[in-house]
Amino acid sequence: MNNRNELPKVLYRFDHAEDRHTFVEAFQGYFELLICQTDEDAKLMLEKQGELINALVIDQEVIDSSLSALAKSVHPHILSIQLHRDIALDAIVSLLDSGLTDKCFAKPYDANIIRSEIFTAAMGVDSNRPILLIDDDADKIFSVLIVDDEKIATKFLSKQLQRLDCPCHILVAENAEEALGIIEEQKNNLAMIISDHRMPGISGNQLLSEVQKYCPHIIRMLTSAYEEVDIALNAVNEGRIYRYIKKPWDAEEINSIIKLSLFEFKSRLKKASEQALNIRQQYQLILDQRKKCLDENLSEAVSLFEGEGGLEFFYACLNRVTPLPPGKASLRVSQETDIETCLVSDFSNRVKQRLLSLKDKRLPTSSETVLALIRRLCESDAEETQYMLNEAVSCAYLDVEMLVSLQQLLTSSGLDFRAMVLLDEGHKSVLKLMVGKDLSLYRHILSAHTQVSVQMLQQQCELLILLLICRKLDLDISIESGTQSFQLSIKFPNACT
Amino acid sequence: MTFNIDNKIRLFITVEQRLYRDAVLFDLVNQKDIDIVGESSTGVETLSLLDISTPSTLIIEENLKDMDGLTIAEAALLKIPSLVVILLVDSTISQNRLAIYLDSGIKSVVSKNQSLQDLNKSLNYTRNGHVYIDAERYRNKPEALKPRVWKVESFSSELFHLLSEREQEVAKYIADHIPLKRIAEELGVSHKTVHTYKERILIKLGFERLPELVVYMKRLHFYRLQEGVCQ
Repeated sequence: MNNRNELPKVLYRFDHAEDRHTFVEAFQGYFELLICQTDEDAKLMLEKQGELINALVIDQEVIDSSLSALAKSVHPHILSIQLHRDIALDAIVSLLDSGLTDKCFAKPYDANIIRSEIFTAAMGVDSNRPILLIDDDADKIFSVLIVDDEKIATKFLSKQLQRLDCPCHILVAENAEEALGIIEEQKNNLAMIISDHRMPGISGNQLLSEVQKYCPHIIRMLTSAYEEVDIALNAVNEGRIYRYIKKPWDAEEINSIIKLSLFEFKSRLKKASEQALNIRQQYQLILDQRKKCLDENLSEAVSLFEGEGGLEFFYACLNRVTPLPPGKASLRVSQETDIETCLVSDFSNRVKQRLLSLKDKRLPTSSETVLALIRRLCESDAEETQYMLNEAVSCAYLDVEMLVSLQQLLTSSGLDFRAMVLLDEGHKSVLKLMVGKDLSLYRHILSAHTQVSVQMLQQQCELLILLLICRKLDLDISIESGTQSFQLSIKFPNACT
Repeated sequence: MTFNIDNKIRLFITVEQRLYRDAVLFDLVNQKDIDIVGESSTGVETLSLLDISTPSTLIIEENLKDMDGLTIAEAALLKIPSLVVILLVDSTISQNRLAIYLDSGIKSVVSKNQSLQDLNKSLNYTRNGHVYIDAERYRNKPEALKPRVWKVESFSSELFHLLSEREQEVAKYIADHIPLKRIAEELGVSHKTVHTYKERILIKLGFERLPELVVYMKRLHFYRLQEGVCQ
């Protein structure tokens, strides 16, 4: 879809009028349907509108992948779906081997799933889970895990594979439970898993579905000695298997499948790591631009309040925290929406308003009053804290405003002042968070965003205000780094000094 | 890494308002393939409870008091990459917005004006970690199918006409809370026959439980009253 708010375009190739009727009934209104009864018409349609077509649905009695091949070769973005009644296992195996079909559904099909698949493809969403980034140095030898309850057959196959110079270490498991243990231990070294379907306890199909959920980077293959079409279809659609291997095993065939799979595995790893690097690089450019805009919008207001260097100090504090990393979504949202403008303007306006509200606040004469207030706050619940701060704010002192900002930061981390402690260190009193009570910071103004939320803007604004007030009052504030969190401490001079 | 081999949904729900959370939980708790493993009203608490509750699915509201649900969901996915997250949003979102949510790792988005049945559908279709988009939200409906007077979303009065006359009669009795035994006496048929009617009605209307049928019949009644007033 050029515009994602248009209906997806689906090219439908059918043989029988009644199939067409059922299909149109189920999908009219959801998609723009381009209906063809001959390959020639379908090819013409692909030629004319291929760029705009999101899915190709083939509803023919006999499997013929020439149309899918054409669609995939010229327009790889097209989702290719086969609909079948009484599909043979061999046909599924060959469809998987050809790599030309993404999904295959037996009739009667669940239209909800097909609609969802087509919408997902049309939106350009990669529904696979992100691939774990694993080091792939040239010397690393990955493993293949073979799962089968027929111990003798597995042992024989593994010996034959060794003799054939299999490019992977061979691991074996007698059942799914044992396999799950090996996967847990070896997930960074495991490239593929070949599992028999019929085993006592957890079936191979279930095992591969779980592996798909937890370790999507591992290539999954199912084997069976039985003609189980339902299982094979389920494994293709749900477990997203790479191959379906029919028993009895042929060691040479398996060895060549392992070689192919290893190549596929390494290409996927390479692609994932290149994609991650690309996202980081592209996002850095966005951040540089954002920082420039923030400086333009805020430098003057911040300097007027506190003098030079306030914003840089804020950025330095933020850079000590590791926020949620940028991903495809944050890159997409920054490039395709007005989030960058909103983020800068909403944050700047909020900060300017808050600074304006602080303009007439008085500088405290001594820290005695605020330390007494902090001691009481550290013993009060959220409701009492609010009441005390409301009372104190009316006195119009700047250090009380600092506590208001701190309270906001605590609230956004699900905490209150009881998570803090005031320690007397001779000439200084130190207000700090208790051990294990960190302040949360999942995103900050210089990190990746998928949306602008009021909660995040408020948290960021109050953090900046807190830092600026501390600097203005010559209070020593320090922020210790953390992953999506930070520790904070503020030093106050004691009254006697 | 905790494998969830029995394929039961281990559900954690994060919804700020207690009444709303209770309503969803009371519906889901009756389903035998769903285990409620945790609940919370805030995002930060949700993240702190993930380690001990080890959910397979998280239903989370978009607007939470402490932090937005999407950020919490992304932080949760960083902790448990296999987690299925269903985001509850205030109203239907555009396809552009939906694409961004799905790119963030969210598996399905349900708006608060959808039905519990729709939420159930999302739960079931996403249980294996697949994305589920309810295409109905983005369908170009012919004018005739768009709701006119009746304001309840996803309500279709046409569904009732899928039932036979006898089934319609039984549905009306059930909506009036008449026990099946008495319905059998009224219609002069066996208790077993009425039970079969009831099962057929539920299947035809796409319901799983009796309360759904009762609420549907009440809505149909209000709908017809309003239709009558407007004509």
